[in-house]
Amino acid sequence: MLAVAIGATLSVTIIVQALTLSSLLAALFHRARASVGWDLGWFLAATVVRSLVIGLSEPATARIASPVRRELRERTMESVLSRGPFTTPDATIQLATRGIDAIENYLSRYVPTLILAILAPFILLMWLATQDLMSAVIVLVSVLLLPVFMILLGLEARDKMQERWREQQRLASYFGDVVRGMTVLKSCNRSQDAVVNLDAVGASLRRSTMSTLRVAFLSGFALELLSSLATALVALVLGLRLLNGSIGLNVALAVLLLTPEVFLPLRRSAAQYHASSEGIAAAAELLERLQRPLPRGHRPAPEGNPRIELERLVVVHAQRLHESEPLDVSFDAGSLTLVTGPSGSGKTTLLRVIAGLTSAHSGRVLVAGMDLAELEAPDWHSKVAWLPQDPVLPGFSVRDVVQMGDRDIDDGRIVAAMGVLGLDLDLDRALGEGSGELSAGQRRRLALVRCLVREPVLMLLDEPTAHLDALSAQLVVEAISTMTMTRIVATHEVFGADQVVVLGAGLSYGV
Amino acid sequence: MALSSIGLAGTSAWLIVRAAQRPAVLSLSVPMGLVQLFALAKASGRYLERTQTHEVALSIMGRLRAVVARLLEPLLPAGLGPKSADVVDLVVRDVDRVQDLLTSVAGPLLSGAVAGVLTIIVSGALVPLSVVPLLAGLVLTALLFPVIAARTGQRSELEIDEARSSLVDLFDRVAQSGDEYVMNNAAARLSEELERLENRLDRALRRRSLWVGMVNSLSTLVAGLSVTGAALSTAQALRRGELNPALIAVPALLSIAALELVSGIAPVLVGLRGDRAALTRLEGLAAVEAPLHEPLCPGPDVQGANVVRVDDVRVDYDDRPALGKIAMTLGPGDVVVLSGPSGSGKTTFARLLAKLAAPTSGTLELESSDYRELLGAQVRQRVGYVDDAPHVFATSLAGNLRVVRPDATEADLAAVCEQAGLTPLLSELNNGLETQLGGASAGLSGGEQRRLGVARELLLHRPIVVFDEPTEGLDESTARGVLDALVARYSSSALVVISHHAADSRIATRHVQLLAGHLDEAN
Repeated sequence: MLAVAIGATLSVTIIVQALTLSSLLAALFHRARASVGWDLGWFLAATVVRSLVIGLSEPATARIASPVRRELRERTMESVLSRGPFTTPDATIQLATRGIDAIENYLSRYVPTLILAILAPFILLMWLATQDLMSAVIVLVSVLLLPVFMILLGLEARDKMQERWREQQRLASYFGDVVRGMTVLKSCNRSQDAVVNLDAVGASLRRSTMSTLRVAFLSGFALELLSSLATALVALVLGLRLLNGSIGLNVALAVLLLTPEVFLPLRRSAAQYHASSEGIAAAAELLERLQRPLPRGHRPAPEGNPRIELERLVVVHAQRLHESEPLDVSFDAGSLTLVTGPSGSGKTTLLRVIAGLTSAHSGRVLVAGMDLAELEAPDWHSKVAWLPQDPVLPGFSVRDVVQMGDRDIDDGRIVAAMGVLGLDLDLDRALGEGSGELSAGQRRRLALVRCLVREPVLMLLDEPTAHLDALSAQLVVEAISTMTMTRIVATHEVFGADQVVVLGAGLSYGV
Repeated sequence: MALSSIGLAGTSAWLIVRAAQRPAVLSLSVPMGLVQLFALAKASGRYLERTQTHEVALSIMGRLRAVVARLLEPLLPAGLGPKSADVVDLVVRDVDRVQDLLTSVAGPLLSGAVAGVLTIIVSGALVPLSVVPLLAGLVLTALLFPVIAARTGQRSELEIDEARSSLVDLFDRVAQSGDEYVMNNAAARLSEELERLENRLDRALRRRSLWVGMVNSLSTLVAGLSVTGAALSTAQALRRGELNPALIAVPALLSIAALELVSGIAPVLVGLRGDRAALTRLEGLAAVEAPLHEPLCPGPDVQGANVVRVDDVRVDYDDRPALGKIAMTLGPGDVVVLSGPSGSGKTTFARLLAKLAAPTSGTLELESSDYRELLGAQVRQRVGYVDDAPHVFATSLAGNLRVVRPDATEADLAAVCEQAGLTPLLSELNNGLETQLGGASAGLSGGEQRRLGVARELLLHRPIVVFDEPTEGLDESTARGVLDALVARYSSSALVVISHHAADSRIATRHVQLLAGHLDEAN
């Protein structure tokens, strides 16, 4: 609506400007001094109004897409948190940041120009028709040709844009992979190759960028050519009609001034369409990714240490031929269960399924008799502590890592938990990305501290003694054994427990 | 291109007014021809100009990206230096912004300058006085407003830039450790952070739109005023009889065309500061000191070197001693099992051996060459290091192996898979060696990942190798199989295995323990 009002005002001021300027020039030509003052006044007034409207339209339209951007970003975050990255982490990050910014740009820049592109030519043509029908017909015919070009080139551009976006995502994924895998590449003397290969990936992005741009320029060329030719044609026709006296100079000049203005909004709109290519392609990808509804349960999670039952549970192994055998196991309330089995037998996946991070292929997980899928996820997560296999430990410092979910956890509790595990770290010690400076064993125990300072009803621990020397491992085992909540521990090291479940062998037995 | 649009405006104005004088048709044919010529030239000129400037910009961008990647290579692996997602953003986004700078600022500025000069020459020749308003308009629109725009836009642009970088950082955490946030009730913290960043972004965008609006508005106003000035000065010239009446519309229409051409520069320049910031960040990379000192030229040839000597080596991290006074010699036939409490410096020691890190003091020698005189790549021709969580690249299993040796044959791959104990995995994967791994389709367990690292190293078969906890996450029988394969394969080499498992020490010819940064060899 706002865009329509802006468009209409702009068109009217353009007409007034053209009329007064041409009448001014015609008056000069005819040496009629009288009307010059009025014309000048009106022209300046129209100029001022136009400049004000232009000045205000930018802040007015700049905001229109902000709610869309916020909503998309929120939903993307929600989806990634619930399902994991769409593709590679880096392509997902680029889509969520740069991609969504581009979508906003598309909506706040292209869409308003589109409205103007429909409105302004219409108003201007109407006025042209009242002044000089012949010129109006010439302009109308050229304007009607425009959509044909725009649609043909627009379709061509759309494919190219998508291609370019994919190339860009490929570059982000590739480079992200190289950066994250740098230790491997370096220690095998392959980092230089990877950098050279980046040139190759970059070159194909360059090619697809250029072909996208070519279409955009071609569209610009077509529009410009049509508008220039129409202007030239109108000028010629006007010239001939002036010659035989069938039209006045002021009208002829006004028509000449206005003819390019009919095309200008159309050209701007087409240019914005091509300039927003990233947004269009990103929108196509994002909407597809966000289409799948997120699973939502509504029942509050049960209080107290729960009994967990697996009913014909089959977990999926991505890219594997065999599904796991259906599991029928129960974990008593407050019991300690060890899950063992060869590497790759699905211990990690099983813990993730019970945590509610991954969905099972088939079968059910019952939590105190309630289906896990029906539980309200945040409520369930707040009652479960999970030690991941490769903890990332986001946070600036040791304290920040442990206080991740709860800022109120005091230092005393953290130090006590660290003491139990024999971990000696300064709480203020700064940590880099992936807490790089800590050793694998320290990271594992720090992640375990993060579990211990909470009061969960269920503890899911993925190889808690991995990377630990015998003494530290012993402390960890003791800590786990003395806890009273339901505990499920994936491990290769068997220690005293209420039950041992062996995966992969197709059977489970209790001890 | 600039010539043609000025030409089109000028000649069509001339044509119309000349026609109004009702001359013989023949005398109109010159302006008529010119009008058509300029119309055609304008469109094709613009097409050529844009294609050319973009070709140039893109090839500069490609080179820039390659340079940036080369600058980054010595600064990585990340974790010690810049954050991975930031680095990726740098290469993907900042390089693009530099392209923007070239195409949307340099291009219009150039064609605007040409158009301005042309208009001034033509108008000046017709009506000398009309040069004043035109020149004033051009200077304001093409020079002064852009400068104001760049200055005033600076703050909002830097804010936008910062907010966007913080968003990259936020989504990096969402993508990499989202599960940990979810399981620690910290997802709400992420949403709050997102909300805060979006508010910041909105504020900065609003401020920028005000500036862009103001600059656009001023340009429109100045254009109107300068056209008025042109018309008035024409009127005066006409009164004095200094101007052919047929040309009265020319200065005014020329002004419109010329100012139109340069009006696009100022709004683009509001974003200049951000583009410059991107460029500065890229330049900044060149100044970052590499964490590892490399000699300028390769050191002496180390082909055939099989012995590493470590002498009096110590390593400090931020003044915290990590390793102190280490001395050790490794040679053919050595099978060292290195153990010690977590955090005692085992991994640091291993990284030193492969020249992935440098000691604070002390020397390492390969055969008799000092590590400081050798390129890291030279050392690693002979000394290998397999980390405890080898990265799985987003490619096939075969691709993940060939990363280290692109010329490995199918048979080579099958052989190392068998030695590394990956045969059960291979038979399970739905597409064998060609199964896609990594990214969203990761699908390798921790133990499998470690065996992938072992298999990679077996492909290279270097004479001195350190395996960082290769048996972690493996069940006992698989672990035994992997270690036996390593001992068999490296019988004439120096093999170092970092392990916490007492069972693993059976393969050792030397038992070495690291205790609080000090080496202790049991005999």
